[in-house]
Amino acid sequence: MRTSLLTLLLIVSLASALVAEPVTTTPADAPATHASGTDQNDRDTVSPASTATAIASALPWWGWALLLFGFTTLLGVIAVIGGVGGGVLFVPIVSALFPFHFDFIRGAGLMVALCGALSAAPRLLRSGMASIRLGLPLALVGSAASIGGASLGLVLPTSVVELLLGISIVGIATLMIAAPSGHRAQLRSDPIASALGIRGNYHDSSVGHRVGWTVHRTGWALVAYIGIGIIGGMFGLGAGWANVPTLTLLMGAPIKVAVATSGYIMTLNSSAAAWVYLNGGAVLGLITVPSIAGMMVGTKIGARLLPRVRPRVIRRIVTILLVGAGLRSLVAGLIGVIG
Amino acid sequence: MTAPNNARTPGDTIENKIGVVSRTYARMIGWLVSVSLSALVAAFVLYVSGLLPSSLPVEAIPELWHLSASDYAAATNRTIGWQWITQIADGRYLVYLSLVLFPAGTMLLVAIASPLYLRARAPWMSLIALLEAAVLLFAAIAV
Repeated sequence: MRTSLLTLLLIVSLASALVAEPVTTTPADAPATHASGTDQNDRDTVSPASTATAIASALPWWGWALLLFGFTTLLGVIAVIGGVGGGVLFVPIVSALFPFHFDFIRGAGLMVALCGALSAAPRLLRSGMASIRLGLPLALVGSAASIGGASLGLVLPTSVVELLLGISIVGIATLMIAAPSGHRAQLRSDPIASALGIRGNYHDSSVGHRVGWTVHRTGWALVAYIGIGIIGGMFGLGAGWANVPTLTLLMGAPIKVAVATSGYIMTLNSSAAAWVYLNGGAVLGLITVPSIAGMMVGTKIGARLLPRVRPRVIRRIVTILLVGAGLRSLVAGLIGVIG
Repeated sequence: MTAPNNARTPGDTIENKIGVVSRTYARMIGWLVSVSLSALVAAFVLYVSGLLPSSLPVEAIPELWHLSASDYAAATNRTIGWQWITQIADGRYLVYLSLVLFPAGTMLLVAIASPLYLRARAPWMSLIALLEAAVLLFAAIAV
């Protein structure tokens, strides 16, 4: 309710700009050479400045802000139900549809992933489906690694980052398609999971009874989270894209526990990487704030729908979205590298 | 599907305490989201409405957002690192401050969770929460 009111206030503020007199001021201290789009590190080759300026002029600033808000609301619903986090959908799709530099899209993507996960976390934790005991050890490794990934992502050429992003996402989607679905065998805890007390049970309304769970291969999962953290930080994705496959396929957690715990892990992994982007000046309020507001609304809706959705449906939605987003990034990155 | 044999342990009391920590943590996250989102919307409204003076008018940003972060910073005299904290009367940096509340609050909450886990007789979880807070603090001030 409070989120809705705040979002309404945001929309009203954007709408009020409609009646405000347009100002075409440019910063007095902005050297003309900086608007040329050239970059000493070859990190700005995705779109020439003239094209970018022309596209940006197609809409006033508030038009872009409203578009972003509507778009991210939709992404928020899908992200929570799919358990992929907002970042993995936001970064490749927004970079395709909006004229922002990839740095700012990744910075916004991380903030969107962080805020979307925070928004959904209270409901998921209270429901008993999200497990801090499962998520916290993995998040510790992942967030430490994501600091390195984020630092690397801000110095690599944009096209290379986009190409690697596409390869990573398509790889994950392929893994999910190839993996067996839904039904889990009974597991025995490994020593690490036993020592940390990683187990639980929750009421699954789709099957009508309580489901007990534990995990195995915790050591391997901790190793996997080094890679997940680096990739998540580098591409501005957070960790949502990899959480569900790792928790289900590697550790054997039920998909609903994995989806819910994924949100908790994202709050920590995205925080670590977000600091790097914030401190590096790669977070732009005009892009990030409407995106966060939309994602907040979307994730609230998605979290309400989650307990009523069957695992098979969740899996199908995640896979389709990942394939589409991954292929787009792959093609865009290839064009950038070859061109 | 039935529960695995070890899903319910003899330490049911500890499990209950852990559940209390989770619910407390969930409630704190809810507060964090409400406060941070309120601050974010207020700062954004102040910025885009022009009520708060800004060194960079919002109308100028679409001409510049195709630049890389480093070029954008150079073009707009944007402060990198934590120096912006001295300029929060500037609308653009007030928005920045409100954005920082989300990761800063996350760091604070995981630090608070550490003693809660210790009180719930989960020392390993307490240690992991403390280490996580340290990692986030490192990201905030040292990277």
